[in-house]
Amino acid sequence: MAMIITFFVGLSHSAVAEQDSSTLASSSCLVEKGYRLYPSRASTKATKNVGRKDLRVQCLGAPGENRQMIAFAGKKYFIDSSGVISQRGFTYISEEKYRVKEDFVLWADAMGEGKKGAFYNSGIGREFIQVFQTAEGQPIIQNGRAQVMLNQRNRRGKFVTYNGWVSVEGIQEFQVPSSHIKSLKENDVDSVMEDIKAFSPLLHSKFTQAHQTLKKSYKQSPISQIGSNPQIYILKENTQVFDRPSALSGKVIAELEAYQRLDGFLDVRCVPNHGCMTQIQLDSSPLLKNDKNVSKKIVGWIQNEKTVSLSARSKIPNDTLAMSFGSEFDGVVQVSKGSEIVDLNLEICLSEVNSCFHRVLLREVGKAKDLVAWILVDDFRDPVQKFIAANLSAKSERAPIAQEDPRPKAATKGSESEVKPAPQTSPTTEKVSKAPLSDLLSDEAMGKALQEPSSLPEEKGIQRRPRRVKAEPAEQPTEESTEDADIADEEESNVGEGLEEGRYDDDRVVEVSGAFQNVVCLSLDGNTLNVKDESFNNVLFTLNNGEKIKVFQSFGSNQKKLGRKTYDVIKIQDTNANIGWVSKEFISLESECNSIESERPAEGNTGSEEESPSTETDQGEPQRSKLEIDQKATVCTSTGGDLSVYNLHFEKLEQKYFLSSGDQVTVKDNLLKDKPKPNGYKYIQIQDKSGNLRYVAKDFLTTSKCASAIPVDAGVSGGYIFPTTVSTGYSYISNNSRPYRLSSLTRFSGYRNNWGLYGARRSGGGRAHAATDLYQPFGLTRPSSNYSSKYFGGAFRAMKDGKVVREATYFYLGTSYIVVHHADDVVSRYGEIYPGTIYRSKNVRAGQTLGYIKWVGVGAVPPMLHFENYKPGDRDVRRGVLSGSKRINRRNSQRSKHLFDRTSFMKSLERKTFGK
Amino acid sequence: MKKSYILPLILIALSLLLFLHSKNGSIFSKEKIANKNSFEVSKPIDSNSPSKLVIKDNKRLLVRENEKGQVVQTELSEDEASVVQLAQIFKSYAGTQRNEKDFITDLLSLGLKPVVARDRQEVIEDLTIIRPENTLPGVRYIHGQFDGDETQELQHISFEIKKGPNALEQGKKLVSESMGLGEPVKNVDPKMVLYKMDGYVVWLKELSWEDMMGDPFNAYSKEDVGNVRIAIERDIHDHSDHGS
Repeated sequence: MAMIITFFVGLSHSAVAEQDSSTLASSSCLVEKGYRLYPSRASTKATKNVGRKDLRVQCLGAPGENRQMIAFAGKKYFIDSSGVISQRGFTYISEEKYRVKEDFVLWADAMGEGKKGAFYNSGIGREFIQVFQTAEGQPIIQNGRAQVMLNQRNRRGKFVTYNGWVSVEGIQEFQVPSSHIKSLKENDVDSVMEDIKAFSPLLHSKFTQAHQTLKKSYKQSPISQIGSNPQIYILKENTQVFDRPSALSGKVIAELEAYQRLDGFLDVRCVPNHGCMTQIQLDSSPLLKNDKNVSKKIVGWIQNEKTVSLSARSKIPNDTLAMSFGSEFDGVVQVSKGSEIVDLNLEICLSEVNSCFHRVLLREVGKAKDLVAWILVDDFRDPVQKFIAANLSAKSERAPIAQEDPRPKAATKGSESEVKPAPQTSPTTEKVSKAPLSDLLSDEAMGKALQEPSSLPEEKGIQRRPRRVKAEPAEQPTEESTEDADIADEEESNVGEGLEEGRYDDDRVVEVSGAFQNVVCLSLDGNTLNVKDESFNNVLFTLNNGEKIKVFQSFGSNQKKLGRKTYDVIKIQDTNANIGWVSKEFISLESECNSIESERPAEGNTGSEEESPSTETDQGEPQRSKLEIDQKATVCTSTGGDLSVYNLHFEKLEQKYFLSSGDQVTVKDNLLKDKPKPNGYKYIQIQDKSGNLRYVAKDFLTTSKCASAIPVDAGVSGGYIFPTTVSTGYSYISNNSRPYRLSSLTRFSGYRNNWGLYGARRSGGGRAHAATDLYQPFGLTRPSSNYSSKYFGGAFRAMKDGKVVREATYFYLGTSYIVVHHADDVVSRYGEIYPGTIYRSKNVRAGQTLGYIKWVGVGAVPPMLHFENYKPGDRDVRRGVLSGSKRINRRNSQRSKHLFDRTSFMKSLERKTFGK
Repeated sequence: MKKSYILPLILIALSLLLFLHSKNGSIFSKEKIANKNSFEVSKPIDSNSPSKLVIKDNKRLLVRENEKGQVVQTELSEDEASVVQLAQIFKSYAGTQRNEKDFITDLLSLGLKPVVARDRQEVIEDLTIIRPENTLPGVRYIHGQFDGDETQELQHISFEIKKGPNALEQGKKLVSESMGLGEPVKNVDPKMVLYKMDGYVVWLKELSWEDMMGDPFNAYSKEDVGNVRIAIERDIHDHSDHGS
């Protein structure tokens, strides 16, 4: 406590002592000695005052008042010259040695009287609190409630704090885990640097490359402001995004609400008599955050005049810009007076604190090493703006800020009034293209332009509401026509809702759209959920908001009695098979949870990290290889499974970030003697092909050829590979009399070779077979003893690049199926498999192992991959006869009108794949 | 002196009853032949239904006609009654026009709270999954999958019963009696029982860890090995047609 009190006292005194009156009067903004800034992610564990992430200096004191404003936990307070904080009730905070007992309410009401009845949280007690105290060291108590600050910390180190009041009897002593406290070391600053180097150059290069490409093709930039600061563009309200540059030919793929944030410019096309349109990639606004049907990443075309420069933030509502990445603000770090900003490369806004931050590279006075930190935008607006103006054009050069106090520099900028508002003028719309228009609009060019972003996960939202595709507008959307289109769209969306007529009109029935997937659902994204043992006394592990879980159901009631109370608690299992108990209120279906941010790509993702959902995380036997710094190496696991990846804090990343066998990386540092060694392996720092610095177990890197590498394209033309790993013997071809001669199949004496044919009659002719059955022998090598030789039917793999659109679902006799939408637009059902761990929305590559085939345990047929294919526009020639697996003539139904026969293609592909 | 005889006699009688009970299994030991009119059935016995679950005097009775045309009543435990209720409901979806809405209605009528998730797809069929939040005594993981198209036709419905020394056999008896199933298909895994029924299959399986690991919907620990899943689903392959 003494340390904290000292800190506050020191803060207030030093703040005042070191400010001269001219500074206050002119409201200049500087990084003052003794103040603290937000460190980047790498210093998560490197800060002592972990609960004070929100302490920041607001340099703009009210003119004429000798006081300095600080922001604390999202609220603003003032420190006057006497060093006493004038905000009522706010003085000091005790040490972090308390927590709130279970089921005590944290009241938000500032006076602790509960008049408003509002509360932030109930059932708290999972994290420590700090108790506000008077200058005499007494707790601030009113009406039996003590003023406290609740600190909740997630696994990523991010802190969420709440100010409020808790009944005194609800507070109990609590020892802060030592893991919450760690001194800042110089090495940690190195880690910060490494982290940022891995992170920010990607964002920079993304934008820079886009602009360079653009400038090559078009002498004149299509949008005049594009060269100034590409990261801060928004779109006008009600902007429509089309899938083609011409509104005449393009479908509306999204409607943007106010201040959608542009993430990059990709291309420009001009249409005669319709002006020019720009292809954009954008992040959705937080305004749309709760709409699960809206994609977080959208690539589309907008009219040029729809973009608006945001050269000043004053025009932007505080809650409009929020970026999910890099939002880990935790702890504070001292910065020397006169530190200079030598780079500024990102702005992030956090809705929970209603504030925006700049990530800056600071050169501290007298320090040899630079520091990366996050600074409140408002606090440092002037120097930031100056920096932008002076240095953005020559970003690689360091800002020539002198080591002496730079305040006069900022002071000349003046007060807030000098901050320029956002010019809400439209950029120039007439753009000159040197390429012939016909070329630009050719299908090939269009295909290329539109294909490029297809690897991004922007399709997710579109797929989620496929029935909301809107009609093509009749004419180019002028402002007026946009409104018309909006009305039309609304009507059409009503039509879409009409398709939901099957809904059951009963309050007792919960109906949602999307997969049946339970997730952790907390009030704020970034919070974590403590999963406890059955006694609810001990925390077993924590889960992040949005993490997938499965719920145990007992053979009866799920209610649990703890002490005198009965709780609705449930037993859950996470994706790593950890089991524990949580309150039911924190679990919901994924599509019902508003606090989950949609999936976003990995930083600078080009596919490998996000697209590595192999069915097994099986590192297998380690490889041995001598590795040098900057040497290229290949990820290599013995079974072709994924390789666990750790960030620079040695926190294991989600499975989607794992590396796949065959992925190329660059060795960055192989001397990590003092680093942790998860699972007993020696770890090495690598840079993946997206430029991210990670740690992986050294033993699974090799400089030689990796036998288990995912055989991308596998030598088969067109990027296809046969979906089974063992030749079927053409079991799905009618004239093949003996598809299998393997001895392991001899026990199936009654096997008839044509049973797995597409269209084969079933149920006495009442149905027809929708798949080609790709038979596999028994006795194939199993990845682990969890698979029995009796049921195991070998691996199956993606036939072509694609995306999983339906994860494992019950199929037949205890087997499952998944559905993959391939890059050739063919949608394939891979059936009669083990469920595995491949999840929806994951991209897969041709040849990537998706899982394992499971025998159904019945009859004389061997294990098989039940392989169905569907393609938009294709219809089976025997339509009306063939009915998938449904009964013929039963309400004339069919499995899907897009089912088609791919037997001949499969035959050819099998021959090419296996060379037979 | 007389009292000293009475107590042992009572104990012997109780032991005998207990022995007979264990020998006959849990559910059909209380089977009685009765007059059809002697029951207060909630509804008349449907001619298409092989059996009826009747609540009388706080007893759960499975009422059916045997091959001789006699009405047979079997007293069921609460857990067994749940299996019968679900099995009878499940049967009504095989080869009939009953659909997803009916399933929701059926679940509601059992006091369950259905959660319905509709997965829309453009190219492949839509899918509706229905799982109640709560469950009936003695069963869990009630799960329904229906086509998301206009037919809302059944793909798969299943639930799970507790493991036990004769769980598979007891489940088989309950299900076959409730659904009026014939002989099971031969040449199947010994820990599985399979019936064919009008384009659908009814199966019961004693779950191994291999069956449970990675289950897309249900959470399992290894303590659950031995539980029995009971399912009725569209017959994709008609494997039973060949190869015996």
